[in-house]
Amino acid sequence: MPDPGISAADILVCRVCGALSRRPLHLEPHDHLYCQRCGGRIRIGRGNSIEVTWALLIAAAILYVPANLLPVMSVYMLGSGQPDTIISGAWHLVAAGQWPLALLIFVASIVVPLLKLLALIFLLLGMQHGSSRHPRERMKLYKMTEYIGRWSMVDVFVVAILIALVQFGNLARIEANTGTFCFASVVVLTMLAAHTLDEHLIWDTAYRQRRDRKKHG
Amino acid sequence: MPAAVNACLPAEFVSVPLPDCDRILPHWAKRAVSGGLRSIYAGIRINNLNDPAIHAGLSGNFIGIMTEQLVACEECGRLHHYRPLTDGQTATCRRCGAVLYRQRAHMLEMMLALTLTGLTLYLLTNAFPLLGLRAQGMQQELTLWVACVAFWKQEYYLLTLLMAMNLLIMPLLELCSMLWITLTIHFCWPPALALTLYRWIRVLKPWAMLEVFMLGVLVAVVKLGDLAFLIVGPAFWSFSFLIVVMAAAASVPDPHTVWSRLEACRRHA
Ligand SMILES: [Zn+2]
Ligand SMILES: [Zn+2]
Repeated sequence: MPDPGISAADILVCRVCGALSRRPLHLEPHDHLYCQRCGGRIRIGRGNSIEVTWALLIAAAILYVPANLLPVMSVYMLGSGQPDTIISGAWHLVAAGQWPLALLIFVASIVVPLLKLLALIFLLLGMQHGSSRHPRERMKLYKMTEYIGRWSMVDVFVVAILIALVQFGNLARIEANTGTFCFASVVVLTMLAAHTLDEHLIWDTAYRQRRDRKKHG
Repeated sequence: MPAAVNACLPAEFVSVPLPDCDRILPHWAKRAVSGGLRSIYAGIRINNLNDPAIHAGLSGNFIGIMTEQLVACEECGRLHHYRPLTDGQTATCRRCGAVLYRQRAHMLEMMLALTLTGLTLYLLTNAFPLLGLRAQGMQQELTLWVACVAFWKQEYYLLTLLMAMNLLIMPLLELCSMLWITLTIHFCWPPALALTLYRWIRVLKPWAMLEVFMLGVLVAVVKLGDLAFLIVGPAFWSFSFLIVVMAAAASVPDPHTVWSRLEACRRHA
């Protein structure tokens, strides 16, 4: 008896290695599927990707506030200290005439995390409301947020380098402050959110809409 | 002239016998099952695919499709039929335009050369200071390790762990894994470890942040340049080369080729 063949909907794709496998006929609600080639977890359908991504994004948005309001580091010169937030640090650079550097810090630390949050929220809303417009462009937006997100870490690294190098006792000393920790958390959380967001849903909703329209129209 | 081939057929309905998923187990049970057992199941799958008993009684048309594999687009999930390419060609997705797979001449040799160069540069970068700062007769030196530990000294332990992962662990893991994968494919060793490593480095790739740290070093140099006397250490140059080599090493291997060749090793083993 020949195999009647299976439709594309019955095929599960491993997101890690691309191996194809057949969807099991019976699935209990809490079953997990694993790829046989690479051992990675296979996502089935919508999963809880949207909910987890929302949770991570909300946590990141909350931490974004102290990351910008709390000081990231304090510079002690000859005993007297001065705490600096990201914005005041950039402002000092402008005052010192180093405006290209100030612009870099401003973009990497303030604009990029904010844009990343907004872009992911926009993509999530699009998925939830089944938006079918411009899937290619939205995919590009996703790829871009995934790529530029890590560059925000540059501020954390600068603080690390400064506190490692400038340790001259009473003469000059730099200390890290809580703002750095909040800021690093924002970057990590948004990176995780970009990872948990299931980008195939952009195409799935677009595709489903087009098919439904064909059926009804 | 490498030409992009947009020749993959869409496969809305395919009649290919696909293997079932790996065992369906609840999460706790899955965790209890070791990796060894997992590879036994994988073995069953390969045997099933090549088992002549499965093909017996099927129509010729059906077996004809079997010899072509299916490829799923990594970005959007659309299925395509696999078509062999000539050197330098690239197959792209019909729906979203993403690269499905490419054929590269001398892929393994390039991977080997780049990973060995990368490992040498990694050792050099960690052995020497990146920057030095001199003020009032005192000198402070910055190595990758010192940069990671700086937060630890000020009691931000999680930040230290994050930076150690970004700057020390992930790059080393990536280089060692690529070396192991190259050797596994070349000598056709049992690929269980190589498969696991390749999966992990693909998932963890964004967390290796050497190039971001380089930007941080440049920013710090400009910031400190006016205030103190800066010394550029030998590791600064090996670090710059390491970034270039790692970027090249990440772009050379074609994932589809690597996965399918690793799987071919299992069939031989
Ligand atoms: Zn897989
Ligand atoms: Zn695609």
